[in-house]
Amino acid sequence: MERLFQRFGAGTLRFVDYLGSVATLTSEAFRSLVTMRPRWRETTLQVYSIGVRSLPVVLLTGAFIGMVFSAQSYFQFHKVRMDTSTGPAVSIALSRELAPIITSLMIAGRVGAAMAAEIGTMRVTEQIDALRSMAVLPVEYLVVPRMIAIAFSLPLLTAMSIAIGIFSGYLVGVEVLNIDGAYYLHNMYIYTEDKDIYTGLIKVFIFAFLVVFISCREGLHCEGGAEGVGRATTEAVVNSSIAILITNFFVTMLLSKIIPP
Amino acid sequence: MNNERGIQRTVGVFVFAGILVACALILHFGKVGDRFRGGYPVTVEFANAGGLVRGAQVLFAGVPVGKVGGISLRDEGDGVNVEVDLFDNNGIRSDARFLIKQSGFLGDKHIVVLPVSSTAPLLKGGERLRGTDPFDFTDAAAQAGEAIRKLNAAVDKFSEAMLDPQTLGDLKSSVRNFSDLGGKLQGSADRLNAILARVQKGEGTFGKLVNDPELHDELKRLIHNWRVHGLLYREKADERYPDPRKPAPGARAP
Repeated sequence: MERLFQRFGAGTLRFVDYLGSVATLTSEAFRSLVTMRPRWRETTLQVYSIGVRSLPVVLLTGAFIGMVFSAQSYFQFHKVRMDTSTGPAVSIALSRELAPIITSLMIAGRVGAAMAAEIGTMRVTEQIDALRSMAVLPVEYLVVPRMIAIAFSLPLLTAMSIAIGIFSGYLVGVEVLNIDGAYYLHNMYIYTEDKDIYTGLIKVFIFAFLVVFISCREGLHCEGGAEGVGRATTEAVVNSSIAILITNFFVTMLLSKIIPP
Repeated sequence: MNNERGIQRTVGVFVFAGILVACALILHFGKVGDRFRGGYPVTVEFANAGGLVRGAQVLFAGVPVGKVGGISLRDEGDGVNVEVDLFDNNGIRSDARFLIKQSGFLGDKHIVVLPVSSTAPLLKGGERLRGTDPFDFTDAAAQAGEAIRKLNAAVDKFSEAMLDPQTLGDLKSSVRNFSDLGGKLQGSADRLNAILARVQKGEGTFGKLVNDPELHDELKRLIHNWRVHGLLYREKADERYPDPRKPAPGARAP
């Protein structure tokens, strides 16, 4: 029993320690953002790495999410002869939940892992110590450009994912499932609002910070050589994904108060 | 260097396309085009907004002509003011009726404008109108229940006042008397019909009197004679039936 409590206490302390290290990294990054001039060249390279190179995978997942959601919505709405409600169902679900979550998870998997691996490798090969010795702050040099890049790229990627998802959902609904295209678009236009788009974009803006800080924290705290880098990469992806899914619920509830659906 | 420029160019295209798509989504689903569409507001007073929401459609002859701009409770506390933003050139006249309707049984609420005349002046911005309140099943059921309750009370009062044993006995005897009287009247009518039939055939004194032209003439002459002899009043009787014993006026003597 005593060992159980001890384990529970140790786990709690580890969790609090983990949260503390992420919070410290966050505060350092924002302090650097305010006090130092951002490195725009590195930021541009990160936008290319995070945004442009993630575009194909984000568009592909967005398109197929839109298609499958359109088909599933149609199958249910068709039972009550409300086929044309598929349009707004697809657009609202994609804008508010599906596209933000799927895009964020894809970015966490692709970019978060890369960040953790890259920074982790620098950490185990003592390049970060070298930066410090050259009076370059690792957070300012490594984390801030990634933070700016992902905070900028993720909403843009999400917007593209929403657009391609709506378009592919329309194609499946109208061309494959023979829903009346005019009413599909009309109902989508009537029932989807700009706040649905805002809600999704605000969410991914928050998720962007989760991904970058959790991934960079894993890289900066990486120990144990190549094995440690692998572990850091895995933990970056897993922790980012869990954080995104948990935070999504609370952000949704909070936004529902600020921007009523 | 060229590679870096290529990256910058690609990033530029990505950012431009992303912002373009995001803006397009926001502008399209934000119905920004509608905000720049010319129109004018009117206020429609309803006793009950019936679940109407801001942004609900306004249909005139089935065509969207505006949207609900806002709903606020009246200061007087007797209903709601519904601000309706109508598009320009909609042809709605000031005597048009505004109703809150529902699409289907579980559908969304919207406002329907019904034209009344084609001669009234066109509706202008800022006008206040009285809307026709939506049909409420609950209210209707409550009113029907009240009416049925009153009807029951009236029936009970009538029963108490009129349907006591004495009144019922009187009513029964009256009905019986009416029945006897009807039987007698029927017999009299049958006999009268038989007499009239005989008269029509010319049978009996009355029948001959009615149907015999000779008797008719003789009767006329009898009356005439009575007049001639002073038994009845004189009235130019000679002119109608001249006395054959007297010569006609203006005739030569033979």
